[in-house]
Amino acid sequence: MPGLSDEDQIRAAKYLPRELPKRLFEEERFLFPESYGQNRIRLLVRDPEWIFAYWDVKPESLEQLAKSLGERALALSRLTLRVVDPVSGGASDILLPPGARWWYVRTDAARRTYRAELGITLPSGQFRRLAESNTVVTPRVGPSAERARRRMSYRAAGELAPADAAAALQTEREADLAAEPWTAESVDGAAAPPGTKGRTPRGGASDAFRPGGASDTFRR
Amino acid sequence: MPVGYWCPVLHAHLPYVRHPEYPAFMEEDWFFEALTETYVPIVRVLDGLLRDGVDYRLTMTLSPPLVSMMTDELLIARYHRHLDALVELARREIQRTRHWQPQFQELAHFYHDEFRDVRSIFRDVYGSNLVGAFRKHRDAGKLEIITCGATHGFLPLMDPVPQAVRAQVHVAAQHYKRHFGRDAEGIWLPECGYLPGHEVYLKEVGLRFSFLESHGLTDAHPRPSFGVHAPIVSPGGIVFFARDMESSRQVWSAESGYPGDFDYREFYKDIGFELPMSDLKEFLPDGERKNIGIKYHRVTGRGTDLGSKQPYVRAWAMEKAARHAGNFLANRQRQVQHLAGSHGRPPIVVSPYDAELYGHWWFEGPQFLDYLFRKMHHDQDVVKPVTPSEYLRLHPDLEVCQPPMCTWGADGYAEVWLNASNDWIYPHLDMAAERMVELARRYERPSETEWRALNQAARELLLAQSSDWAFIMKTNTTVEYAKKRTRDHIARFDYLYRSLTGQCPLEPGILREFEERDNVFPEVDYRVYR
Repeated sequence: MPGLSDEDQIRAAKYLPRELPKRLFEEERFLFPESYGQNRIRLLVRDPEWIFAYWDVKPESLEQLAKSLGERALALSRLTLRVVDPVSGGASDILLPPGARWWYVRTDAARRTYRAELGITLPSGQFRRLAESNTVVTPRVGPSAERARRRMSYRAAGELAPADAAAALQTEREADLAAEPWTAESVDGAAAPPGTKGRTPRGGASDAFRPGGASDTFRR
Repeated sequence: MPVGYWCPVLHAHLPYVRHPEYPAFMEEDWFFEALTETYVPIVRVLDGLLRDGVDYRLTMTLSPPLVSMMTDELLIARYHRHLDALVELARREIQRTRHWQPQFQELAHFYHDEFRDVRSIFRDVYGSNLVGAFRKHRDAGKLEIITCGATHGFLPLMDPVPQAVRAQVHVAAQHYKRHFGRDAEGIWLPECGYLPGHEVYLKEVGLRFSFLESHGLTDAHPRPSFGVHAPIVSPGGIVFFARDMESSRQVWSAESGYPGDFDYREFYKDIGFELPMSDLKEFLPDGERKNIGIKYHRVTGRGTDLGSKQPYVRAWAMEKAARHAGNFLANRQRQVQHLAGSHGRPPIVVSPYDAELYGHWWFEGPQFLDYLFRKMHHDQDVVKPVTPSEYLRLHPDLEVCQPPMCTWGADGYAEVWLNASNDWIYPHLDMAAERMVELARRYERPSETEWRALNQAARELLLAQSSDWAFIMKTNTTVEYAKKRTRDHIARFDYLYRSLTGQCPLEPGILREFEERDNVFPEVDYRVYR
């Protein structure tokens, strides 16, 4: 099965059978919410090459826009996903098709930090922001060029208080983002370990990718 | 001192499946099958090792949903009924095969003995308390039991609402203490899913170590000196062990792994699909065929179709399990001797597996473990089994490295749990988590009914977050059920949220019904979401 390892497929044996006749479950009396009526957008990191954006739009926001711009202008406007790099700058706009509720965004090899804005691109080209997302960082791939030197005892690790741990992790994150990206080839003689995963850039779109949506290039 | 160590880790987990509203429910069989083929057989192996003075070491996750099911009265009663039916069916199979399929007579006797033995261990030896059985081995110092996410929520994809990650960890830690009488030292991050920064939530409840897929260490920064064969500590003070791929592949690989050996039992040819319905009707109450756990054939050959499978010969399979144990041990000896030369310290080879691989998928897996621990104990002193906490006390000096985001799913990141088959769930899980935080902050002094509703909202959210649902949608097994579970829990949460925010009345009867159905974590306190 595509997108699954041997292990994933074996693990699936816990949840059999695969083929079932259609069952009628007891009717659920409570409605499943299809939308939450808020302007919001969130980002998730799927892997080093893709992030996932999902959003919700408050109907009143569009009604207000219709009032201020007119129905025709609103009809010519497009819901837009703006992906920005909050560390080194740059942005990429994705004009969304009507009805889209989420999008897979291809990451850029030269950057790691992403934030998104959901908004409306007006016929004039002006962008009206509706919501701003969380910030995400994609993982580095490949061995680090730098060898470990610092050491800590198991006891000292246990004594590190949560607040100190949080501060140390934040420092680490900042240092990581400030560092130059590395590749497996740049490492001082270290061979890529056998069996490591996720190294091969997948060409083209993933099974979930919506063609024509993602952008590989950032506008500066 | 041995040349190196082997750290086997069995991750035992099933989602919380319990349907009091139905007299029997097919997905509850996941738990019953795993009890019969994996959990009880593993306890039997450990009991034998302890009795015979074999100095084994094993690390096991017992996930909170699994522990909850193991201690749930309704499910225990249903399992008794299930076991009685299995024993009776095996007895009838002895009669049937005597006349109609004499080539399976011996196997029918084997199954009859096996099911009676499982029943005796479960019911008579341990008084239907399998958690107590595992605790006994923990107390003997041989078994290290670690915890997991409260409902096996996939933590990297919960990150936009940090309180949701925290609640998965905190609720699990409290649950562990309640059932095992002390704090857990280690945690299996669900799906080995790690995101930098999540250490803080582990620290808050005193957890000290966890496990990562191999690239969690090989891609860590700076680069660990010993690859995956020594643990590291992150700047956040949590120790991470990493999976050794060589030992994993020997068991997991579909092509070359031991479970595919031609003499082992064939998983997919079960009498539940072979016998006439009239012979099975008492075992298939809703008239739908399903796996029963009586299988008379062996793998036979690569690509052999189910109709051409040959009879299973138990003695051959046992012989093969012993040979594979010998082969595995020889490989670990060579591996640690090779690694020790470059390390200057005893390397540790960490081999994590889904526990249900042993017995349920690979029927002979528990016997393989039995032979392996015995050979390791009696035949050599090159490689010794070890638990993570024991290793850390022997070798407490750790390199400080920051692992990257990683998981043990295909390609090593989150694609298995986030793709076109299951991505629709995340907006709902995220919104429910955000609203749970809102409720937790809003209610300082709730009435008794509000208190119950708030705690039930937490349960519904936790149950919706089980990574099993996304996994099932991707692997295309019981997809309708996984969708139903996600939708039901979200819908119930939504009702409770609307009630608690004055958008609709809170009906005491409905609340009680939710509490009776989704009764996991009776001790949960919604304030964990603040």
